[in-house]
Amino acid sequence: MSNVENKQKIGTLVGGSLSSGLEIRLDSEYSVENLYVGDGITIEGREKRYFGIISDILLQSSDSTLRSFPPNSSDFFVTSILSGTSAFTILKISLQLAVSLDANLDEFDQLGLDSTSFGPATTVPPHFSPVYRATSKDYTEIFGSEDENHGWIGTPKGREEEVKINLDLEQLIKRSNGVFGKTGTGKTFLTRVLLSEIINKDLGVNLIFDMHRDYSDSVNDESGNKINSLKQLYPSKVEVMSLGKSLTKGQVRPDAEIMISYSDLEVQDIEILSETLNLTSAGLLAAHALDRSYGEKWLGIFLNMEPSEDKENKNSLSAAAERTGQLYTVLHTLWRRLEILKKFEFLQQNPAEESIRRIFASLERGKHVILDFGSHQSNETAYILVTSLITRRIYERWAEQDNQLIIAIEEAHKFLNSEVASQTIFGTIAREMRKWKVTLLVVDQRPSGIDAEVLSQLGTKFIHQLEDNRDIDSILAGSSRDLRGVVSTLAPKQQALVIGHALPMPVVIDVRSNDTLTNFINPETTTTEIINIERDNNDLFGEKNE
Amino acid sequence: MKNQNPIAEIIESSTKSIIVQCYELYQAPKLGTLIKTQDDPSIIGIVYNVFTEPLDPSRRPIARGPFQNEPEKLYEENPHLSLLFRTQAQIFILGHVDQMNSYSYELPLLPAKIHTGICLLNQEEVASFTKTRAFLELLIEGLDIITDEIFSISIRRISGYHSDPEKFLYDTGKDVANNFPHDQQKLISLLRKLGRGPINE
Repeated sequence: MSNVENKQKIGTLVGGSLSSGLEIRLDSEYSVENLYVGDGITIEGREKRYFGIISDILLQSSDSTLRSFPPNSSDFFVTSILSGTSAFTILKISLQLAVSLDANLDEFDQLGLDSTSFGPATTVPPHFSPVYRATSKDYTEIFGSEDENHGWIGTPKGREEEVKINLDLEQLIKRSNGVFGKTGTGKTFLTRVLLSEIINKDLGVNLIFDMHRDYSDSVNDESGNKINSLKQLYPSKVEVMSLGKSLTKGQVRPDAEIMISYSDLEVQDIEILSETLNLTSAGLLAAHALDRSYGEKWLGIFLNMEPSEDKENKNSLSAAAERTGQLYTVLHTLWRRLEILKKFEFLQQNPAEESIRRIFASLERGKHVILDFGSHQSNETAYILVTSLITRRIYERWAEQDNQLIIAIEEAHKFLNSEVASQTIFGTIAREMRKWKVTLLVVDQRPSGIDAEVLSQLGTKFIHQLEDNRDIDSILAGSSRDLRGVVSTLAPKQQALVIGHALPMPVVIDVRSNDTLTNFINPETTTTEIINIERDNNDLFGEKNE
Repeated sequence: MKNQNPIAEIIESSTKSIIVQCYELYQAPKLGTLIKTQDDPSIIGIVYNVFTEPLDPSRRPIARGPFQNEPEKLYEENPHLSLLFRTQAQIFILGHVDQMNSYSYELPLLPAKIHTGICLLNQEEVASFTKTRAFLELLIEGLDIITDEIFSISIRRISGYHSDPEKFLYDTGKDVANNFPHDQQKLISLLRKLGRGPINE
């Protein structure tokens, strides 16, 4: 097959198993320092070609005495000869895909036909099969080319060649997905790339709860480079709505201000806040009792009550305690802890406009909506409350829609932890998958805080560097154990392991960035096209400060 | 094969090794030198032992006294001494020239004939015979006979006939290492000897 050209043999298959990984002995001529965990390799069997990734690199020796009596490290002649012969490198390979080797593949290539059909590797290549480092052509065969459904998200880790990893976005948005990684690893950056690609290809409609104003307005990265917001990139496709009064600073003016009626809040919205506001189970029971007794406007009425034990006063907590059969002390504690909601000016008894209907109308028209938390940015209580409320309302009405809705939420463990996941709308969406054409894009730094069942339902996971073993265990539950080593060797920034539904095999990527663009320009591209590409790139990622 | 002048003559022959008697006393090929027989097929081997002994093994030489500081003078004054001794060399066989007139790195199926002359391989022949590392196979097999020291001297001497002696030593070292998976200390000792560098003469 033509693929044999430019291939560099790096080793020979010497053992292992499909479940625990194959073992490749590295050729002595090939430097181990040119390889890394997560790198792609191909193995030529007799009947099939296999694709896998390096999950671990081991230094071994043919004779145990070499460990006890190693040669003098200053004797370069001896050490350089022993290195790669008696003392050798073993690569552990997590086998992923297999494709039949057909003698006539060249003819298929010449005719431009798709001669390959990848499938999961269900067997292993025979002993002593030659192993090659995956070439750019291999990656293109596996991940496809950029088209109306495939979006470019990055380059294979450490590769400088013209290799693009293209994600099947149509498959991606059919299921809920997650972007994980500790703080500062580039979760928001990758999320922006994903959302941007979905918007660019018109594959679905996004509702983004922008807690930290990362997507609604331009931001500066750590190097001081300005990064344009999604609104600036796609002004006609994206609407920014501000929660309450919008901030006067910033370059993007919101298209609408969101006000929420107390009557929109239900007890389950309060339940999600139980951890944040330190609500007790007795308090939550009292909230249910208030709901039953006062109806849908219970919260507004409750917060306007006077914290008094005067039973004669009908607007006192004492009177409410008698009416609902709750203890005064329980109601008083609940009242005090919910009092913080009165500070949220976006919560009103009778707002002029039904804001949730406004959001729905925009989404229905195919507009992507970014909910900017404005002056409430980084306010956890406001974020949890509003995100939960709006998502529930939108979800209830979306059943009739044809368009796929993707809801992007940050701090996902607040909504999807084991205690509340079964009760919140987010748990429902994550479990029901594509049934209602609503999926989640969860962004979180603590995947171990997310309910295991919800994690298992995520279609595609983008995993940045994680340090806590519990986080790594929970995110890789159900995946090959080999991938653990891959996660632990991710770079601190802009590098992610991508596993799941939207791509044929796991891959470690350097997330697409300004710097990598010039490497991907086709030699046949004209100067005008290059200028256009660079302009688009600068629009997306901001201009570089030289 | 018979154009070059022989320097010695086979006096004992087997399919694995040869003993030659040198035409000139003390004029033996040096350790690690590649030689060939003037036979057909020509057999190629390496000198792994050189020794001089009396023609009559029952008449052992006796010491001539502490006053004899110049042996050459002694031989001049007693010319019959040169006729009483003989210098011999032991050759370990590394291959032969096959019927297609190319090198075969296998033992000959029959030994060389007694009284066949032997001569040294010239520079081109050494480089050509050791172009592939196949010549190492029989050499490594014979390590017990030829010893590590002679092995390394041979390789270092051969390296001097190649355009890049250091690279030749390194590449050969790699091949040798692949043949010693379970005796690393012997290998390290062998490699240290190889690491002394090429022998150029």
